[in-house]
Amino acid sequence: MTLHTDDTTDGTDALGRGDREPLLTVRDLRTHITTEGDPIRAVDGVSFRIDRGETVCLVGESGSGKSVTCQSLTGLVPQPPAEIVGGTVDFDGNSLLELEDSDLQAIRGSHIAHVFQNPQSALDPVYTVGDQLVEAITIHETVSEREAVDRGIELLGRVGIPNAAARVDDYPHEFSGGMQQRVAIAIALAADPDLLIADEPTTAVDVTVQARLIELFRELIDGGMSLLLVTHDLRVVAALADRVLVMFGGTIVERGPVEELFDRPAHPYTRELMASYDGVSRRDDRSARGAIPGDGCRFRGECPHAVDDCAGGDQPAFHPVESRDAHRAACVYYGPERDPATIGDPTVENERRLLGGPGGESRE
Amino acid sequence: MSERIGGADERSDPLLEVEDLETHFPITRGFLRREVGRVRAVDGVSFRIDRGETFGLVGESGSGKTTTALSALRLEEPTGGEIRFDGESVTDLSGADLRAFRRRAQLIVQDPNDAFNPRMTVGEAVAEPLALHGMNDAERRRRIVADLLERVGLAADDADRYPHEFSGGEKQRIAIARALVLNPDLIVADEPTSALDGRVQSDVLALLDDVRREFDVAVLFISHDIDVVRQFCDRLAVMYLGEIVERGPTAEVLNDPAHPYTRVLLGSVPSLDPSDRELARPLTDSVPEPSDPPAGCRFHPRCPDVIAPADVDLEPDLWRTVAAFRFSVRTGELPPEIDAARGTEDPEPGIDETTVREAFDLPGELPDDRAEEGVAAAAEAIARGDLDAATDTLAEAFPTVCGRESPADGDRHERQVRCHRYDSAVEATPRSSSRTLETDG
Ligand code: SF4
Ligand code: SF4
Repeated sequence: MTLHTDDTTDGTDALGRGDREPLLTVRDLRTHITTEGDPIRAVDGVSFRIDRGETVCLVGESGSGKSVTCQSLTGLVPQPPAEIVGGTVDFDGNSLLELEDSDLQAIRGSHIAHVFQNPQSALDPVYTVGDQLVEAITIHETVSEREAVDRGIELLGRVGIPNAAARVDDYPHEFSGGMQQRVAIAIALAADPDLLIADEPTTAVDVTVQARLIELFRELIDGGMSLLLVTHDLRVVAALADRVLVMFGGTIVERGPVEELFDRPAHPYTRELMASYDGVSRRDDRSARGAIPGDGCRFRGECPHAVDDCAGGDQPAFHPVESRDAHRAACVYYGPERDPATIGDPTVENERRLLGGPGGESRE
Repeated sequence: MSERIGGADERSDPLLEVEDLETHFPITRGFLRREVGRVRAVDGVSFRIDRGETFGLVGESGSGKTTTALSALRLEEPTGGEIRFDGESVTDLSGADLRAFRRRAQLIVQDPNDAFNPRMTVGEAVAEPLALHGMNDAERRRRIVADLLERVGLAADDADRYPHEFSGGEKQRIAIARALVLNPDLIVADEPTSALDGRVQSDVLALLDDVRREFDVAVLFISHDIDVVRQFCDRLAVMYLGEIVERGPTAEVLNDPAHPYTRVLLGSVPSLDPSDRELARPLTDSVPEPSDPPAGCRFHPRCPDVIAPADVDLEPDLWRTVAAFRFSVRTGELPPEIDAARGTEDPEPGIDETTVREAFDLPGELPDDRAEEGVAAAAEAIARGDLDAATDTLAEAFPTVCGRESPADGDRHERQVRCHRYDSAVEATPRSSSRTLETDG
């Protein structure tokens, strides 16, 4: 186990939530994917923790390993081509990576639920929504058909489907995209899960629909559920997260409470990600080309500040940002030998950004 | 129609003018394909793009923004209206004239994978329009392509590679090169970056912005993404259900949205400041079908600023609660407790007038007698289970000019806003509870 990527102690006191109990603890997770040639280190030493009632957001671009990470937790990632080669996943006292498939499936059906970008992947087109809800409810509970239907209607109402009693007999295609996502969430909630893992759940819907889904997630979290939200959209992160994990090239590069991380983005990658929201493209035309290195800092091929120390070995250690232990960046400039001021002052950039947009000061 | 552009009168040099554009699709049924209705995808849209200008069309799915753009290029046949390009009508062009027009107005689509024939090299793909438009000199074509590829950030010898060898962002660069190859005056870009990741997205936008300045091309930019439009467009128009509801300089519209729909749209975009987690809410969520848009203002069943009847005297917040009640009942968006009670087979579902009022956040008694009468009758009908009666009662008790008359384009500063609140003929001030308007000097 590599200590430097382990946040199971991060900022409990700093956040004043010492009374929270960890629900999920992931340590040094490694998932490789082999399609042709050498295996790709899709997830390479990822550690994090989610407490009960907490929302953790995993942010990154496509290919960053964020989806593979969350699919590895409950064995959803197809093996092969993927292989979980290392790490532990502890969920409420169960070591998930050591469970038999059938036990893992039982946990997926009851304690951990998944929601995906495309709701169709969770809905069967040939059964009514009611049938699918009843099935999800009766998998882990013995109730009469009538009771199951009533609970199904209640769930549909809870996720904001108007006229639920009438719509329970409709087929998935009779719902709009946003409504299908609500139905998929209702099915995921049927088992009353402790943890919902949502992978880009609002990416395919319009912003006014997204706003309603965000509110729905907030209600579920208020009800005590934990949420692991995977997204590329920093605005969705700002709207929901308690804590944020920024992923690049299969590694977490920055982590911290949402306010601190948005206020003072520290890692050069995080800063670039945030800058892309105001259209300041400081990247030269070819910066996106070339393979991501498999060792050291994975961002060094694109990083304007890279030095020799950035290469080789494991990813750079996590260092506190401005002495805040809860907010840490895996970049050599935050280590004791270097001064982070040499790579720029994030607050200056951040203020300018917040002044620019409809989501910033203008909405005050 | 006339349109002023902020302090740039001398630059009034229209390239594309669209007036009252209408594109309806027939809905047919049965063996004889009898027309039973029409999808009014674009319904009376007017705008103008000047030379070298970037103009954004913003809207959610079903707003008609893509159909508007495709119709303006005549890639979709408009059913009405007038399109002028460089002063000449293109509404009735055909044959060689239509081809000549299309050569000057190029399209870039959202998914770069749709844009390329996988068996053609990148060089062939970029050169294809040249060949189609009669440039037979292969050597010259090759030189032009090599130049353009370098201009968009690729290498000249990328011409011999195939599309699948490139990333999404690179393919979109190639699409930009191909759009430029005929030296067009206008590029229509339909969500050109929405399939790309954030950083690559802003790279491609920066490139598009560079080349349009360098080649002096105007861009009609279609997007659902406010961040992207803010970065890229000089002016924009916001579309809702086939109509433009607001139009003006980008910074003004985004910093101080005037139309209630624009406010709901922008207020639904989460802030990048995690301490500001407020999200806007329309009165009702259901988006009406473009085949059956609401009468009057198309946004009225969802509009938080919908105008109260003159003889109803309620505080704005209370009026909004009543209006939300009225339209939620009409669209069937009932609070779960009411909805669930209706669904059970229990003959006495256990809801009464009080439950209904509570569920809709209505006070026990409204201060206005007429309003109270209407709300009480409707609540009673809902408790009885008669939604239709409740809908009718509310419609009668709370008629609104917004549901009766279509608003005209009102002027506010340098903007057109299609809303009765900006129409001097209607007695309703644009004052509202919106945060953005209160700070407006
Ligand atoms: S570790 Fe080096 S390459 Fe990585 S972000 Fe920091 S400076 Fe850049
Ligand atoms: S006309 Fe009425 S309903 Fe339409 S946007 Fe204006 S206030 Fe709202």
